Amino acid sequence: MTQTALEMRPSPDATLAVKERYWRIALFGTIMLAVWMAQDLRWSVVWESAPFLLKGLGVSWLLALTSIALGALAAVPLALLRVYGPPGLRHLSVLVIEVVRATPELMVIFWIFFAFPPLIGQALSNWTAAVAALSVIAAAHLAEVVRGGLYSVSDEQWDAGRAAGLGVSQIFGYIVLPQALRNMAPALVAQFVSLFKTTSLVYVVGVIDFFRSVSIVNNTAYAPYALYVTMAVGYFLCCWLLTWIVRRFDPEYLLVE
Amino acid sequence: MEMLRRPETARVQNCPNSPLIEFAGVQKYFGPHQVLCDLNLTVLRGEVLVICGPSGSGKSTLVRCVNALEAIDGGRLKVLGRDLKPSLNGLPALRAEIGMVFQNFNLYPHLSALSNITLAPRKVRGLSRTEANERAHALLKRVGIPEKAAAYPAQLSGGQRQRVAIARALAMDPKIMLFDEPTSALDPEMIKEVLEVLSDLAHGGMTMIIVTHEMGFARRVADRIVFLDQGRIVEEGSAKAFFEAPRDDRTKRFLSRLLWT
Repeated sequence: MTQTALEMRPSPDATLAVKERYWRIALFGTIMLAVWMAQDLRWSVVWESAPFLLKGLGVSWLLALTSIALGALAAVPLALLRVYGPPGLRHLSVLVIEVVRATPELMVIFWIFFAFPPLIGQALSNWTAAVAALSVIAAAHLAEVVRGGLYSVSDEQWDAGRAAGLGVSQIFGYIVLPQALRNMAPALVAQFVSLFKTTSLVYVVGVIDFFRSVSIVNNTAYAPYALYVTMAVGYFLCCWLLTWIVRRFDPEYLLVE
Repeated sequence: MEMLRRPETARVQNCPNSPLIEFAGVQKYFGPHQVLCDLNLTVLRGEVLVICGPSGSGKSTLVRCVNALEAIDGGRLKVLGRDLKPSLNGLPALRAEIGMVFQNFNLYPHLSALSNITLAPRKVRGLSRTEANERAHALLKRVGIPEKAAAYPAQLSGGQRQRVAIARALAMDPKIMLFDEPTSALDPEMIKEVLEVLSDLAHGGMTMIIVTHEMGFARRVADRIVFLDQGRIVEEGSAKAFFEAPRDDRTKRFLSRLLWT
């Protein structure tokens, strides 16, 4: 009896083939549905406004890369102060990091555009304000990533460096930082992607980035499906590209144990 | 600073049987817990000193005090003619003269075996890359793994890692070598290969302090054995006297529980 029951059961390969057929039908159906829907979506609007949209995309990239670079430059000293700094400076660094992280990004942008100029007695251009705000946001978030990276390197590595007669800055530069950077790679990717998406907020101070340029086209030519599908694909591809780029810099890394 | 240091070190070096390390009434606390109590100990040039004792007796701390990885809280500690006061300048320069091998190897995981060895000679001693590489290859040959120069620590066995760590310490041409339980993290088969390197060093006249539980090895290489318990030296003497005629009850109990493998 058991023998026959076993024989009647389809082999694993057969089950897989059946599953695969269902998937093919589903995929084919989805494509047909998309084609049917897409007919009426006015893709021509996207095509015609492509130069304007691409310019917006360029602005987004420029904003993201500039603020990542400036933010990273500020993040390392912030993290160093938070981990190794003397009491006063340490608390200042904690304050800056936590305040920026715990307030909405939009608020930081408004603060720098509206509330900061009276303090320095000089108005900021849209661009300066946008770059400054995004850099501050990037610095606070990246500082925490760097801090995590520093903690990921054990005290024993410091011992080894000290015992060899290396100075503090040498131990940090040759031993601790290289290991910390490699351990930080996944978290860095996450922060970069998050920051790229945060650039979409700068429209509030009048900078025309990708997000804003899509909205502007939609306000005049009204083709929401085509335009917002383009936006989704655009942001996805950019973030994916950013991830891919950072991964290129992540060398093959072998940890002890 | 360099000018001031050199002659003093040189004088100590040239005089045979001169003390390289002198503990005089050294006290060390971790919080309220006293780890070293009024410790007096002298290590002469070329001497191999083995420190043994139960866990928590202060063995590691004692060794870590010698290159100031731990600061002492009382008494005096002189190493290579220099007083290890908290105010001591040029600590890195002094540490460069003292090699240290750790229980957990503490190799730099992001560097190859070769780079692990050459980092300090290049950055502290100012050796050129070629010069440092040459010496590193010679040292890897000396510890028996010349073919592992390009390997990363994760690609090495425990015994090989520890031998790279020994080569790394020797690359600085140290006057003293400290070993903090160098075989405690190793499989039994690998302990032998590391102990052989240590024996060679000892026979070559290196001044060494070795913290170890390998009593057979201690008996073979030690000029002197110190038994530490609760931060105090309970027994101190030649290897022969220590194993054959221990005076203190605590030492007798310790020795009776040892597994002589």
